[in-house]
Amino acid sequence: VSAALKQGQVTPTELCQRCLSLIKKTKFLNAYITVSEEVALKQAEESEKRYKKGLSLGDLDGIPVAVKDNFSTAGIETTCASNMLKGYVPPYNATVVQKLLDQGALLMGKTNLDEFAMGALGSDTGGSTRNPAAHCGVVGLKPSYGLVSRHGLIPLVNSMDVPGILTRCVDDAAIVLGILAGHDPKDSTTIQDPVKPFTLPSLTDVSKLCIGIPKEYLTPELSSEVQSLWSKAANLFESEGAKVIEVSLPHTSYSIVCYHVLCTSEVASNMARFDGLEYGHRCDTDVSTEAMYAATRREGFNDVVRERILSGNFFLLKENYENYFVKAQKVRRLIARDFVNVFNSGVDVLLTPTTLSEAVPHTEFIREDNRTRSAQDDIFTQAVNMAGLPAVSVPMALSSQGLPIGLQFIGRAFCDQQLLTVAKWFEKRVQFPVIQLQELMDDCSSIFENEKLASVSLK
Amino acid sequence: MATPMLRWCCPGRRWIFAGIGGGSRHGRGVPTGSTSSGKRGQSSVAQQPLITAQKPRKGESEWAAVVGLEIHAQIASNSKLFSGSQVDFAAPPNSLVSFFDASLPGTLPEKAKRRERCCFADAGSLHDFMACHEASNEMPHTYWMHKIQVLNRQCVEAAVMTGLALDCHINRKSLFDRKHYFYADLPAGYQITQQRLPIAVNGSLAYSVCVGKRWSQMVTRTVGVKQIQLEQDSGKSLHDNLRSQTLIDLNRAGVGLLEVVLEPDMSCGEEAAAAIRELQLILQALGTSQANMAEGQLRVDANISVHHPGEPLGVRTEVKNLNSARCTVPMRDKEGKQDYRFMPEPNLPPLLLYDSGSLPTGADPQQVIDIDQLRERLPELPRVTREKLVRQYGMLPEHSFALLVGTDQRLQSAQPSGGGMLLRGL
Repeated sequence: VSAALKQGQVTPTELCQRCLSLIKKTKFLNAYITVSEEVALKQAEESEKRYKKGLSLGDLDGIPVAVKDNFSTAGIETTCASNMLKGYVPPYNATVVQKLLDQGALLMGKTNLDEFAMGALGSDTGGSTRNPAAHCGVVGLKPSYGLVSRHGLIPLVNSMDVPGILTRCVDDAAIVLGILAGHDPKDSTTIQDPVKPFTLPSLTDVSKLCIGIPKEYLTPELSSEVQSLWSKAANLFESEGAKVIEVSLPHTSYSIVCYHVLCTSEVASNMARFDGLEYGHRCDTDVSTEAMYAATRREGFNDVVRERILSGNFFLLKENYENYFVKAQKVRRLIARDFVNVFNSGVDVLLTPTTLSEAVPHTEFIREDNRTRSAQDDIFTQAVNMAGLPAVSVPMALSSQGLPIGLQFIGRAFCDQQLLTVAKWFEKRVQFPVIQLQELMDDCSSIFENEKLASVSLK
Repeated sequence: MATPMLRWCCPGRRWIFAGIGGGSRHGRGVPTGSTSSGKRGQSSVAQQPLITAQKPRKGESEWAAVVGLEIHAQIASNSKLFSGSQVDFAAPPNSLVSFFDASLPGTLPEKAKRRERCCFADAGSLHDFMACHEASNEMPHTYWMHKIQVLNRQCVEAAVMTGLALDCHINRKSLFDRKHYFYADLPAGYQITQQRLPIAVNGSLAYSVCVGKRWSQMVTRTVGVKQIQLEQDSGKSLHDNLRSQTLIDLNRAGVGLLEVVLEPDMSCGEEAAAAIRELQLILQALGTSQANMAEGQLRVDANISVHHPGEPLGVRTEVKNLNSARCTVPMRDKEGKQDYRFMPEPNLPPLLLYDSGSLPTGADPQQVIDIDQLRERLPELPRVTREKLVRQYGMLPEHSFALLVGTDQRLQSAQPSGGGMLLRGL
């Protein structure tokens, strides 16, 4: 698309209009909480001026982007899909948002998410960039922890959150990563060095590559379709000359519980600021401070959020801290060390499923409670967050139902470039039938006319 | 820093963001659940002196008191501990509040202004880190917080110098924690402090107290310094009981504090007051804090219990916000037990300090803190000055005390000398 813009085949404004039109047509999906139409059109206008003068800012100039609604956007409502932040308009941009805007990207709007990112959808704390990517047939990248600034990302778990990148192909993900990565003085957890944008080499020879297959990830819950694709992928690498070996991540089975304890504890802490005093929702109670806090937080948070806060506070109580929080930290260390050991033994990249199966229908999705569902959905992805490693989900094939299935590659810390190089090689080999924009719009037109589709509200 | 867009509430509401100065409350602990939103904190000024051992009635044995102190001193730095906001007592309300100070969602602790930066963390190689089998409270992800991080140098130096002056052991590695409680002047719902592993521990403070009616009857006592920790100050609440509302000024939120915890080695109010005065003098001599109680730069919480000698210690009660070393507090406040749910601060790596023996090779002196260098730079402490006056000028010890007074005390004439400690003209 960038090339098309540069060559003048399409103007930023046209591109913007098309996106806005598509957004309107797919409104029933409720994907956007806020559509920033005016802002986007204005940005498109400026981008067009730059192209006309031959002064484009780079590959992202004029490209429409959407940002999840837990990233702070100046002047644009940021809600985290929560009543607690309804009407909250931040005075500053998250660093990653600013970087995109500095490159001339067009901000189409703020996308929907589970309230405060506590569910299967979210920025990547436990897999919530990679899981949706796998289900939707796009590339979902979780960079190494510390590579991309979290300033302005409303936190869920500070020690695991990473801004995630969703794109149509691996090359695009690399471009965006090159722009977003690097030191941010506003985030002390970012690496010190600046990161230069990079282009991915086209790998042809994989004979020096060693792919690890973690045996603990072969679970009974894994659908046969995903399992067979996983094997197929392993064979693909082997047949092209790569070394493919079975490896062990022995503490895998503890990761869900460990994640749950650490996640809820940090969540309880991070949600403490939402008290209705300075910003966001405030209840009408006038009786006392305590009553005001209680009512505000009851009204502002849904039951998933409240449940996690209660759990987290329980684990942080003096009498429980050692047995839960400290223990979980120790287990986290062990999980991280599992990965280190495997990479130290000569493995370059791990290959695993991203999800247990293709996307399940909504009716089935809502059957399990949030905690069970999260535990199931995140099973392959959350250990990566605990270890701070980079991982990417690449779409591989359509299921027998016609829904996308993706596989996950996990790399060494700060070796995101190498990870994406391998992912790119794989993407090229499997030739996943990526949906084309025009095709999508035509499909949506017909759906729109036939409005029998129930409105889906993601809560 | 730009003032954040805080909401102004219409009349009839309880909380308004403004500030009229004064009315300090150090945010530690939650008052008992009262239904009135007006009364908060314990900025009490007493009419009577502190409980001393009561005169025993006939047939009753004596009471003995045990007093421990937690002293909060505002660090004399140009900017706040974790944000670049300026520190200025006299500024208009809510004019020195960065987005982080206001705890806007998504903000993180950040670098101080350029000239105040220092390096403080290098977690070593992952291999070393993972090879350590010991139980550790460190969050493993801190490994990824790379070589050079930034903290407010002035604040760290203040803590180290104060620790050295009080003969503490300086921890080469110290950690930051979150201490959670809900209060209007604590926007994040937690305070960043150092509970698990503070910057300095196990020191002592020598002070002199009058045991008789005459100045010449002074004895030297020592109180143990349990620890010194770096932490954030809270904002200020001003209770306006007339209109049943509380006004909040966040200028002070995030200012660096030194908390000095004194062991319960004191047995009465006079001793406590004497210890506080000596600490005040030391802080002023060091220049680490102006320690002016009247301006809220020094705040004291006392932990007091009473018991019959020979019997077990009584119930400990905490009295907050003693604002003057003279008029001290009788009000007993019985708080419910508060669990602060301490948790490591995930956005800050360990604070690492060095000495001349352990300085990393090729380290930029601007980026590291060398404890030995700071030790050499320590100014003369009040105790030493008094000893000199006695030794060199043949002065009576009690006169040397009278001469060295803190800036809190009224003075006839003064000759300023380093750090705010003033000598009364002869």
